[in-house]
Amino acid sequence: MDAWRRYWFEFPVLRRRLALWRVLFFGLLAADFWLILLEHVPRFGAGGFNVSQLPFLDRWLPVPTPPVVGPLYLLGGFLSTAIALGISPRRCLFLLAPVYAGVYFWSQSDSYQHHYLISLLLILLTFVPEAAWTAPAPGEPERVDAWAMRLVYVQIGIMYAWTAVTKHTGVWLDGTTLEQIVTCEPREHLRALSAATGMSLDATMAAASTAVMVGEYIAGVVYFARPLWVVGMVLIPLFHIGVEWLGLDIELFSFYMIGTNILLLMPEPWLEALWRRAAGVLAPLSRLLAPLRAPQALDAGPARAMVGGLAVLLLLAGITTPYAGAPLAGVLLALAAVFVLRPWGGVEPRLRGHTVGLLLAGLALALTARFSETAYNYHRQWGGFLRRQGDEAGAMEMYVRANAAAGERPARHLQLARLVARRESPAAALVLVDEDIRRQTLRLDGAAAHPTDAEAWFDRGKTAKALADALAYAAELYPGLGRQAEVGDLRKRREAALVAAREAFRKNMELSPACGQGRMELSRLSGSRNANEPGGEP
Amino acid sequence: MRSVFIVVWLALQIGVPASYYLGRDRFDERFAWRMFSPVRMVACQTRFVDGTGGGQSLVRAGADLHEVWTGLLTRARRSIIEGFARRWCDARRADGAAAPVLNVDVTCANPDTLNRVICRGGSTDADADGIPDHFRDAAACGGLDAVSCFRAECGDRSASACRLDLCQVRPIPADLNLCEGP
Repeated sequence: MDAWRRYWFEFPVLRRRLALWRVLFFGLLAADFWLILLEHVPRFGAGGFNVSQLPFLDRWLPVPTPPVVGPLYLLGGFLSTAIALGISPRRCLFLLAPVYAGVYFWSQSDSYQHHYLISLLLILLTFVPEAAWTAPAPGEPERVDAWAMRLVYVQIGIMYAWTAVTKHTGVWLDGTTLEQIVTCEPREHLRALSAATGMSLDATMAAASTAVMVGEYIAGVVYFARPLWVVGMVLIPLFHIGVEWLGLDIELFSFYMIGTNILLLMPEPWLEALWRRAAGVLAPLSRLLAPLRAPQALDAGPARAMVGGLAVLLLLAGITTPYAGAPLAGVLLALAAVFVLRPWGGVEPRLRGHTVGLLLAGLALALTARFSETAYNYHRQWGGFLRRQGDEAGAMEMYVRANAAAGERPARHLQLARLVARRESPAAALVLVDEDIRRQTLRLDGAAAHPTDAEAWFDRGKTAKALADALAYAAELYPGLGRQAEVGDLRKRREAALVAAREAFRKNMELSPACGQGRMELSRLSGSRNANEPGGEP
Repeated sequence: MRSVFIVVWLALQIGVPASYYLGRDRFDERFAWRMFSPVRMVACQTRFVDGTGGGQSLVRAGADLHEVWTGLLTRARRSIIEGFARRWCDARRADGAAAPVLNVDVTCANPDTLNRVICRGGSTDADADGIPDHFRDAAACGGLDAVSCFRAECGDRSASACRLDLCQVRPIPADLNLCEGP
């Protein structure tokens, strides 16, 4: 029993370690919420269908919908930003953990295993004492005992250990699975490596597979014992860098784990040195913020007025986001701010600084909603789903919003034009097609493909093809609008765009003979030329 | 109390993944920590059939589901198949069908035999000797000649029977009426 107590309940955590990890982990989580998870919101409840992660609950659970999940993700990003800034991390976690884990368990439409891991970690982190999250002020203890952090380490160790155990199969160890997973470019690198070492590609894949399994076992073990941490800090990030190199679609997972492994496993003297270096770089900012960070006595009246003002601003920030359920987002943000700041009873001495911090988090939310591509992708994907379902009115509404969010870049004008031509008028559709042609032409003229960049040539080819599609559709609309005479010119321009597209795709293949995606596009173009079709709708 | 929490947490973190390996549903890996899984690599053909009143008409699941759900159907996720069936059967009952019948035919490549030579190549047999041509130059034969390699994998079975036995799995019985529930 004594060993058990020592292992779990005498686990001192260096506060500076947790402060650094807090900034990195929750900073990434905020970006994840606002830039990645939010884009996927339209899939929740699409077609009125849902299956939760625990299907026996489905009888009682309502179907999640974008007007509910979207605001929860906006709130999640806001709380993550607040934690990254060091504003009452534990109180924020009391809200954040149910938001993240709740949505994850609510629907299998989110089946990423790393979202499950983050759900588990957030639940555990709610048990970490508040003091552990911030660097100590002079005279305060450097370390705080935190059994929940021990459990975080053990949880990560168990996860790595299972990933290793699961690889004791013939299809993993002989390289078959890895060979199927890797994308083209890493496969070519492995082929070159095998040629250089005189091994066959199969043998190289098998060796790499065994190395991955051994690496995962090591990763599992090091998290259980502090003396081994430094081994993990060096080895495990290499594994995750390798995973990124393989080109797997696992969103930000590698970045979470690289940062987590480095910061949670770094030896204390190195961590202290890193802290000093970071403090040196951030010293001017720290001096600027010093008045806000210093504890200040504040009467209850002004404190409540300040928090009330903040709540109103956050309400407005939420309401003005371009997502379904924006009013709910506003209300949730305002309530969360009041919950976190608690301007009743004894006033928190750093209330002023925390209020400014939450204001900054709200500002970050508003700016991200306005200037990122998230709102465009959110409405584009929702519109696409509704169009495929035959809900043309709904699709049109979403495409209008997508176009509004896209700024000046090519957007969904052509898709909208096809629907408008069917449901409203060809003349209105033509305005949209002309806009699409203008934007695609601008992009094509403005994109100076780097002569040796295969990817840039591929993008150029896609733009030229999109322009050709728009011109083809315009040529269909013109005769009905009495502009038959201009059709010939449109067709010539379309031909020129197709020539440019083919040339760009060929260039892509020349520069990347094994992996260039231009080959498939080129064969599609040949197909559509033979069939005399304008090309598919993206 | 904290110790109880820790013990329960650890039991779940060991027990839940273990249940995947001890259970029968290989296609639901959500809580198994099976990263880079061969199961993720195999696509299944999932075909719903309306067998109400002895009929055999095809039900297009993709017609009103989001791609994320049809993607999970092609990965033979049983809970999604059952969820779709629940909805379809309820709708049929609401339309007046007293005893709706929904069957599903799920055929997947066997994730455990992706490395078998018989499962890795095509079925071309140009010289009609009963042994698929790709056995001739398969590295996985490890130096065995094509006939010995084929016999080692398939015994006396024909190539098509061997492929059916080794390379495909049907995780859900095709004659199960999903409207009767699990």
